[in-house]
Amino acid sequence: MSNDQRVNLQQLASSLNRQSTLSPNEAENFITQFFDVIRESLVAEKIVKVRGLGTFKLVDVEPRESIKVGTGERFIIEGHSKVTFTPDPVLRDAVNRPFADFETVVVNEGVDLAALEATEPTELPVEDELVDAPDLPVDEPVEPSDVATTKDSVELSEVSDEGTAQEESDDDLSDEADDETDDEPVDVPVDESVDVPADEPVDELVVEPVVEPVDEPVDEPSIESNDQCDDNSLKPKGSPVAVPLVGQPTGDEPDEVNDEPEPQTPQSQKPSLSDEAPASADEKSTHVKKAAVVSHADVVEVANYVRHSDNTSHRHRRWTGCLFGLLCLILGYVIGCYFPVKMPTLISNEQIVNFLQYINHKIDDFSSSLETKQDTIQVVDADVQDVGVPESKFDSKSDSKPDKPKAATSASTDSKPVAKSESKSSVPVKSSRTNYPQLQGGAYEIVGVEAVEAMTAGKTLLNLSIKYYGSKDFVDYICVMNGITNPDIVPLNKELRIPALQMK
Amino acid sequence: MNNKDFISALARRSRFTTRVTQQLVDAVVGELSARLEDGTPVAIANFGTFDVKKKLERIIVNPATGQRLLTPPKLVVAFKSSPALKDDIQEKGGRS
Repeated sequence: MSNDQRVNLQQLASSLNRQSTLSPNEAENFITQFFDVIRESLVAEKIVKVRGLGTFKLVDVEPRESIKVGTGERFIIEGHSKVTFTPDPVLRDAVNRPFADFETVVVNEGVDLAALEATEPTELPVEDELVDAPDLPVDEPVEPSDVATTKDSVELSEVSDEGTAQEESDDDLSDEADDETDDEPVDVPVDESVDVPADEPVDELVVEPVVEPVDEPVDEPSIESNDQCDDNSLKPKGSPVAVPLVGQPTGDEPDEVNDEPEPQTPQSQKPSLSDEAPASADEKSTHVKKAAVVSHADVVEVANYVRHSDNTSHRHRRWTGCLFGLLCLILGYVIGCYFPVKMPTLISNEQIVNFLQYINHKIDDFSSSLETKQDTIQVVDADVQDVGVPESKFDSKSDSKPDKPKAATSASTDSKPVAKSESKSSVPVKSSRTNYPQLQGGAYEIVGVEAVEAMTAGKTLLNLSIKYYGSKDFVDYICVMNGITNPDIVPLNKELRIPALQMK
Repeated sequence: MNNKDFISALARRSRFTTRVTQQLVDAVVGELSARLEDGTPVAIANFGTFDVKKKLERIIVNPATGQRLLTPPKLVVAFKSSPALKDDIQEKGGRS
């Protein structure tokens, strides 16, 4: 009856009186006797079972030592018996009826850790795949997907799609790239490759790993090939271009640029490259492997942090991204067909030499980075200080923006060497446009010199960008302003002019 | 002592037949259960208190598999013996 108040024996008796023929006194007596019997039986037999109520049982408690709270004095609690009550299942279920619908559920929280653990192993396989079949973009995407799968079924599905159709994969990447553009600033500091940071923030880690491996293999392999074979010089350029595409922060870039340069491009380019220049793929393999491995490890770590947040949005963008990526591929191919003729003129011996130096540095960086795989951030720092590898990526980014159309052409067309020269030459050409060199496709205009900074040991273009603009995304502007074609190689003590920027 | 023994003992004490006694016991238990289902504590002088306590949901780990399970909250009947009952037990029952 009353929920808040305790019910005592008399109230029970009155209820019993109403339900039975007993008088109030008889009812009360009966209930008293009821519990007296339980009590006496409990003492005598140590256990009493009452149907519908439960079991009363005497349990012996062993003597044990304890400490008096007040004095800290040790004393022994003597052994005694206590009454335990186990409700009858009928009573137990009746009381628990409000919560009866709840069931024990397996907790899935362990997924995060498992995913992290799973990621690293997957990375290695990816590397292997790259090495084995540099030509096959599909393989690379698959690997990232594996990692992703642990986290997201959706991502997996995407990956599978990529594997099935390169175009689709490209689309996905483009989607990712688009997403990335928004997020880029966040991760920029991360590492060597601009691509990686951009990718990571944008999407799920899964995507990023894929993109990076692809980019590096495609681009860098070509570069390496240049080292080994000058003939391939074009390819390296293509790689930088691709990187910038991926990283495109503004998203304003022309459609053409997006087509090939975009992050997906790594994969998309690959296919195109394979089609047009199978030889490049072979050359790629060695360097690509290293690059892929390094980038992968870094990416994966970063990705682990990012993954959760991005999962949901990724799915929706996927299909639209696929369509867009396909469109971009076609456009890029068309452009590539028309531009090859122009390209050869752009290349110069100096550019080739610079490119070779850049490649050598990259190789060293990769070897060192491989050793310190696990520590992405440290690796990056080391790279920056030593060779400025990360910066190089940024440069490639910057270069790619201006050169996007060219890059696209280079990738799509057979004239890969031309593309290289283009990327390097493009910067100066652009600079001539106005009093100050301008970054093509950038959201800002260089209107003056904000400061002059000497490139002393420990400084990086990335650091300067963050220092003056609060974002890593402005490395490209610094490179353009100072005519730096290879961000990885900046002469010591070089006076860098930090551009004053104005929004276009 | 099982339910049968208990009923017969109570019948001797109350001088009802065992059949009537069983009916009365069922009535008492039913009333007691009804109160507990409402979440109302029932205190019996010189015997103890029946109370309903809520156990919060919690995560348990299967030590064998390491599997983590989320157990739902539940309401359980708790009985706390009165000091009188405790004393009675210590004096008469004691430890074996």
